[in-house]
Amino acid sequence: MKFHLPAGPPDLADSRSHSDDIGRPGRRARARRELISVLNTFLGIGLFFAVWWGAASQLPRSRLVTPLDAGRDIWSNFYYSPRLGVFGLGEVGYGSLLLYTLGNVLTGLAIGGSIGILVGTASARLKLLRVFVDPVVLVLGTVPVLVAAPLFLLWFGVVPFTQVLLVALYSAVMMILFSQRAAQNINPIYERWAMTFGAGPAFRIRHILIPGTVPEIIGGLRITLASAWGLEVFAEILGAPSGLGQAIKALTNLNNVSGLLACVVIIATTAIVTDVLLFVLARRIAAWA
Amino acid sequence: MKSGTSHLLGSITILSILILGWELLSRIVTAKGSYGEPLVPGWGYLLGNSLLRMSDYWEGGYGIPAPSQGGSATYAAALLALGGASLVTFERVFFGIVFGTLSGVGLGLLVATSNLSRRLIAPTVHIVRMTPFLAMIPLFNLWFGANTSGIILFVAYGVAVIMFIGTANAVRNVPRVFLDRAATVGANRAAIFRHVILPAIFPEIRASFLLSFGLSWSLVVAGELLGAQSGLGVIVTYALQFAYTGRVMIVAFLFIIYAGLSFALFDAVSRRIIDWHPQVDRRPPDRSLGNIKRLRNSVRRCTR
Amino acid sequence: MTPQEAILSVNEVGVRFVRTDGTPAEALRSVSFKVFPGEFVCILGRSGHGKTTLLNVVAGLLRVHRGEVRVMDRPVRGPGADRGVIFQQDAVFPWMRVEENVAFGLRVRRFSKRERLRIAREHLALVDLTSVGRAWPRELSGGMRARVAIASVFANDPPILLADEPFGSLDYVTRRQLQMVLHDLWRQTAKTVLFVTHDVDEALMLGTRVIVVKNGNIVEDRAINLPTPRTDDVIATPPGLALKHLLLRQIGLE
Repeated sequence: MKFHLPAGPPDLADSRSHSDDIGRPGRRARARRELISVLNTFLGIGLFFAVWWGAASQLPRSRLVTPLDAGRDIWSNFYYSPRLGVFGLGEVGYGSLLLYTLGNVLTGLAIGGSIGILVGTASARLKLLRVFVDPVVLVLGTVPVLVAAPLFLLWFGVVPFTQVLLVALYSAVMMILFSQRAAQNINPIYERWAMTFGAGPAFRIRHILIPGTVPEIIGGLRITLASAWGLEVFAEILGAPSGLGQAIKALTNLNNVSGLLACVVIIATTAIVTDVLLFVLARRIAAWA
Repeated sequence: MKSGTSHLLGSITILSILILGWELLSRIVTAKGSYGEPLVPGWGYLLGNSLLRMSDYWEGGYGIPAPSQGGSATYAAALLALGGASLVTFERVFFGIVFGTLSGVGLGLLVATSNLSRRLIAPTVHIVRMTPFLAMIPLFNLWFGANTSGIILFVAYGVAVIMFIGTANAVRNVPRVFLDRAATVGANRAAIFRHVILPAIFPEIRASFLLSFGLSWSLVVAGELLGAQSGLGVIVTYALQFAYTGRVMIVAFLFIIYAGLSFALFDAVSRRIIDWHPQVDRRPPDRSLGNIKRLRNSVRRCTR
Repeated sequence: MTPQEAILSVNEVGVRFVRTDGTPAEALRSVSFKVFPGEFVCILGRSGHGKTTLLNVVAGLLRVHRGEVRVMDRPVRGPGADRGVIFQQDAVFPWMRVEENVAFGLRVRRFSKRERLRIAREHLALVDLTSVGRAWPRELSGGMRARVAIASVFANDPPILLADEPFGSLDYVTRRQLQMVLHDLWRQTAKTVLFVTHDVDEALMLGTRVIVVKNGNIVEDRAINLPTPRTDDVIATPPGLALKHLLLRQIGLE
């Protein structure tokens, strides 16, 4: 715990006058820094798997299996898994089930997210809309949305729509919150400045509101997407025609730990990959942020 | 103040539209479930039949006979059944939050104290954070049993992850100048920790706590729906099998009320502790309109 | 300690660091000077030339790469209660009431509650803040918070006081008032002060000596032999104006 020895001096402004020092050693130092950070990440990931492995070696196989076993399980069941067919899922493997889950999550996020972004951004500007949107979002934002899952199941049956609706509802609520805040957080000085040039509402939306809110909205999408995976899988376990949630349900009945871990690993990996993709997208769209 | 009034009007309007709309829908859609209960039960049916039938889950006692033992369905038995199941659920939420918060904040403080440990643990935290909690329920059932302690552990796990991340970030965000100032008057590490870090991180921890509060209700619902033998969720599980839409709705309402109430209660109580904080909205709590906005703000803060 | 013995000596101090983009830079090259008890030394320079770094090194908040800093003949190994600091940023703890803030140093040093409250109130009176002792810092204006910071440092009674452009963010009138407050407290307590500023007038107003830092080096170190109190008229005399022009030239103007 080093409270009083910062890595660099607190005022970086003090460094500006020494630009004559920049040169080759600087580039080398920079490369070394990046190398250290990459090494750190790998060490950290290694640590995660080491802990998992260590725990698995101490526990019976009926409780926890090693990462290697989980990996093998994924490998051998990815295209076709006979044990899942028993539960009426048909000729499936983790891969096809993942496609169902992925499709539902993305559809739900796309539909709910678009509605949420539109309503949220608009409600930041239209007072009348806020009067109605805010109370609804306040309630839905603080209560567990997933209590609706059993009701949707009863009303719409064991169809993909049931899960998509749940994800879409959640995405809409979250994205209203995020985009409303994003639109409110834009410094009004920008719009006033644009107005001094005679910019009309269309111009201000196109050149200030949209670019100004995009970074926060994508940040919100990332958070929403991360939770949407869990919601989708939960809805699938409760009742769905396909999806990794159904595989989890089947494997629970079989007491198959390696299969359960395999499913969780697949979902987590997909969640991380889609998150990184959104992050890269954000970097592309809003490089200035 | 003015916008508060209009928000209240908005809430009342929406609430009335929803209540009336639902009643209208129940008159239009008269489809019945496989066991004869309406799929869209009107308010009369909900508060009559559905609520009354909750007494099916009453096991007798306090001089109120259980229908399973030949007694008739009474509101007293129904309310007792719901109350009993609620208590079981409360216990899980409460201990889950307590254990989760203690371990999450403790670990967070421990890790945040050094740069190295924070960097080393960051990938693990990211992986754990990105692994959907809800997908882990069957694993938790398998590891710790589908009983109260299993669900408590599951809730505690989710809460701990959120609190850990929140705490570690909060410690990192303590302005350097506060630490420096404490060090220059001769404070040692323990004093800095107690007088600077702990109070400085409190607002952020509170925000994470509000977030994990909402999460814990979701986790307990999910945990009870997928495998528990008691609690409110189990009523839903049974009702699902017989397509008793009304009963599912009653329990859903209860969860919504509990989550909302506990949220508002904690928000009001914890607000006093951070009275010093410059960003806290300090309007008197008895103005319900201010409450709505405050609650919304805290939702925003913690969904950040 | 005889008056001729330096209370603070900075010996060939160099500070190097790596910028955020990974390039190295030298904030201080090789800086040496001594400060004697009771002096009010102003460190003058433009922003980015190393004066804050210098102050942080003396405070013990920053490690040196070369040379050493000695305070009362002991090498500086970290921050300590013998050197009070008034920071550039607002460092009043928002979670402590005003008087608790002023008493913080005493609390760390385990003074009894009564004793530290007495001292805190005494020092709040010195900066004219008696009435707001129980207020939260957020209820105070920027100028009042700066007063709290001054009171906090003096309440801890360090022999050396370090100040890093403490009034930089205040309006002109408040700044002038606080300069007077600090000046009066310095005269009453006979502390040694190291005061960082980019404002030539401020240095002339307060200092008994001025050190000009440029590009990480000391380019000027001279006593300010102007009569006190330093009213605007005093600075407007020929020796005052000559000194002002010299300093302005040294920091890169004119």
